[in-house]
Amino acid sequence: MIRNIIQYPTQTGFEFGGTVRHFDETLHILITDLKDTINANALEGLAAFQIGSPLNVIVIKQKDGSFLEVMNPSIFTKEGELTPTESTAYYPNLTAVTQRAKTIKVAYDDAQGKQQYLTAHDDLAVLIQRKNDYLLGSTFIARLNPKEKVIFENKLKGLSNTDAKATCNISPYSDKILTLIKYALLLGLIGLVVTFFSSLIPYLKIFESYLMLSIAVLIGIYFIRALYEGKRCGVCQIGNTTAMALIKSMHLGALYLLNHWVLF
Amino acid sequence: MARVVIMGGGVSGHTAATFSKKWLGDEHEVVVVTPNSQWNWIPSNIWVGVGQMQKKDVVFPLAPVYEKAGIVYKQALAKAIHPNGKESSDKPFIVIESTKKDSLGQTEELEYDYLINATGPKLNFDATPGLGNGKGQMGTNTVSVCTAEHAIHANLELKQVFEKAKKAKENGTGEKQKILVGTGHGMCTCQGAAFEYIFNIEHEAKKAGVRDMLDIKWISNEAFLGDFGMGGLHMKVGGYAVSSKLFAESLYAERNVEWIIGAHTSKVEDGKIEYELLDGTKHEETFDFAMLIPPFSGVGFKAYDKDGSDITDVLFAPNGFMKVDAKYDAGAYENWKASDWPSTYQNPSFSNIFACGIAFAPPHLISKPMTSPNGTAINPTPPRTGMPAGIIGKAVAHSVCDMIKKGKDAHLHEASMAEMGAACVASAGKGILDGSAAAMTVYPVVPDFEKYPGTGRDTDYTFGEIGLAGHWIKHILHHMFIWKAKLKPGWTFIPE
Repeated sequence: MIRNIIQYPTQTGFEFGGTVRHFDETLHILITDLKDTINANALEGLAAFQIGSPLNVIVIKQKDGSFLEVMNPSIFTKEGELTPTESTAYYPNLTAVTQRAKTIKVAYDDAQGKQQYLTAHDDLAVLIQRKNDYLLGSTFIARLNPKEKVIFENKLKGLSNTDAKATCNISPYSDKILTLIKYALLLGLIGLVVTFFSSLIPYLKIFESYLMLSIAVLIGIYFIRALYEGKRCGVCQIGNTTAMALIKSMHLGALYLLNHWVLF
Repeated sequence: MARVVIMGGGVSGHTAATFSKKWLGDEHEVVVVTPNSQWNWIPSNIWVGVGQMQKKDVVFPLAPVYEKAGIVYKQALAKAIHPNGKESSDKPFIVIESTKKDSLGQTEELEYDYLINATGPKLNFDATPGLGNGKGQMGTNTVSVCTAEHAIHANLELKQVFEKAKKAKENGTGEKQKILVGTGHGMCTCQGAAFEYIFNIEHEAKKAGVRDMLDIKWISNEAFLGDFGMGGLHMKVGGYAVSSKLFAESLYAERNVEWIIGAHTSKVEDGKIEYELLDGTKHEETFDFAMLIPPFSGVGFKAYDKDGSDITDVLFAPNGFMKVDAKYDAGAYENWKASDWPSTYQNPSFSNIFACGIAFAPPHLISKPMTSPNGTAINPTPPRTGMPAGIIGKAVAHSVCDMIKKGKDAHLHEASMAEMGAACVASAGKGILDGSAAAMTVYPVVPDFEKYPGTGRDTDYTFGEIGLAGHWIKHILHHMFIWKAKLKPGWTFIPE
C-alpha cells in the first residue's frame, strides 16, 4: 500500500528508534508499504519513520531495481569523507551539503531476522547514512557544519538557495557588542572599589558617569545591530533581542543605583 | 537473635549492611565479609586516574564505620557456601578466608540465618590473552581504573605519556602519542567508566598543552556509540528528543576522539591489540597508553550440599553470578520481556539467600545481541552498578529485615530494573570552571516493550545534557555518597 510521506515541519517526537524484535507479518507489510511508496514516488529509499512507523527499518531501491531491506542497522565502521549535496523527501525541493563517510560497514537484520553485514561505498553509503538519521530521530540537519546549518535553516524559512547563502554573509557584531557591554558593566563594578581611596572619588564620579552613558549607547547600538542581523538572515529575533536589551538595561540600572548609593 | 551475613562491602553490600543494621537494631546481628579493608567510591576513580584526586579522596577505612554502626566486620574472602549446613549441623554457613595481615589465609566457618551476596564482580582480565597476567590480575600491557590502586597506576603511566608528548612538541619531532581507551573484550560492561576516563584524559591533555600531540581513540564492544549496555536511549535535549547515539557521536566529534565500535579485543600485547569487528574482520591497533576495562564474571564461589557434593550450579549461573528470581529461559531476543528481570533477588532454591548489585545473574542482555560471522559474541552485558546497585541492596535488606521481624512469609520488597529509573552523571573533564559532565536519566533501565511500545522506555522521564553544571553535580555527588557511606548525620536521607 502506498503511504503518505511525512514531510517537514512534522517533528519526529519520541516515536523513533524502535528495535525490530518480531520478524512477522506486520513487519513484512511495513516493508511492502515502504517498497510501494518508494516506487510510487520514484525515490531511492525510505526509512520507516518517513511513513509513520517508529521501527528501525530502512528500504533501499538498488540500481538493478531490487530492494535492500535493512532492519536494526548499526554502522560500526566509517572511513573517508564526502561532502555530497543531498535531498530527501522529508524536505521537498531542498538540498544541503552534508558531511558523510565515504565507506561504511553496517551490521543489520534481514527480513527473517538473520544478522547480515554490508560494506557500502559512495552513493549507497550516503543514502544509508541519510536514512539512518531518521532512525535516530534526526534528519541530515545533524550532519551539516554550522555554516551549512544556518543556510539550510534559511531555506526552510522559504528563502531561495541563493538568498539563503547570500543574506547571512555578515559578521555577528551584535555578539561582540554584547560582550563589550558585559565587560563595561564589570568594569563599572570594579571601579567602585576605588571608593576606598577618597582622593580618587572625584575622578571616579566622572569615570562612572561616562561609563554608564557609554553602556547605554552600546545597548542602543546592540539593539539596532541585532535586529539588522536577524533581518538579513531571515530570522525573527525581535523577542530575544528586546529581552536581551532589557536585561542589560536592568544591569545598567542596578549599576546606576549602586553608584548613586556609594558615590553620589 | 538472627544473623544476617553480607558478602561484599561495595555500593550494594554496604547499602544492604547499613540499612539492615539500622532496621534490625541490636536485637540481631549483621556481619559483613569483605576482603577489602577500605571502602572505595568507584565512580571517582577516574579522577584518580588523571591525577585530579588522591586515593585518600576516594577511599576510607571500613572498620571504624562498622564499629560505630554495630556491624560485625570480617576482613576476609568468602570462598564457599553450604546452604544446607554440614553432616553434623543443619545450620547453613559460609567458609571465609582471612585477608588480614595478622591472620592471612586462616579459614573460618561463619553460620548465617540470612545471606546476602553482594560481592560485585571478578575483574576477569585473563579472559583476553595479554590483558591479564595469567594469574587473575591485570597484566602489564594496559592499565585500568576499576580500583583505586589501578587508577593510581594509570595516572603514573598517563603522566609519562604526557611527558613524552611535551618533549616531542618541544623538540618539534611531531611524534604523537597514541591513547586507546575502552573495553578489553567483546562481552564487557561498564562502558561508562571508560567513557568518563577518555574524556577526562582529553580534558587533562588540553590543560597540559599536549592535546595536539595525542591521538585519542575509543574502542568498544557497543554496536553503536551511546549504547552504554542499555541498548541506547532517547533523551530530551533542549526540548527535542535525541538518540544517545547522536548525542555521543557529537561529543566524540567535538572532542576530536576517533572511535572503533562493534569490536571484540581478542589479544593484547605490549603496545598493540588485536580485535575482531562485527563483520568478522580482524584488525590491529597500536598504542602508547591503553586503558581497557576487563569483562566481569562471578567471583568463583563454590556451593556444597550437606554431604559435601558440589551444588554450585544450583545457586549460580554458568557465568558465576547468583541465580535469583529471574526468568533464565526467556529464549531468543524477540521473546525477551521486562518481566524476565528479577524483582526480589531471592535465590529460587534457598529462600534465605539473596543477591544484589553485580552479583546477581541477569536473565539476558539489555542491548540487542550481536555476533560476528565467526560466532564471536560482541555486545555489552547489562550494567548493574551505581544507582540500581544501591536501590537493589536497600530493597534486599528490607526484605531480609521483614522476614526476620514478621516471619519467613513476609512480603518481599521489589526493585526490578524494568520498573526502576536511573540517573547517571558521566564526567567529561574535571574543573570548577572548565569541567563538564553528561547528565542522563532513563526510565526504566530495562526497556519494557509491552508497556512502552517502540522504544521500550517512557520518554517523559528521560533527559540528557552536557555541561559545567553536570560536573558540579558529579562533584557534589562524590562528597554526598562518601558522607552517606561513612554514616554521617543524615545519611539515610541521601538517596541511593
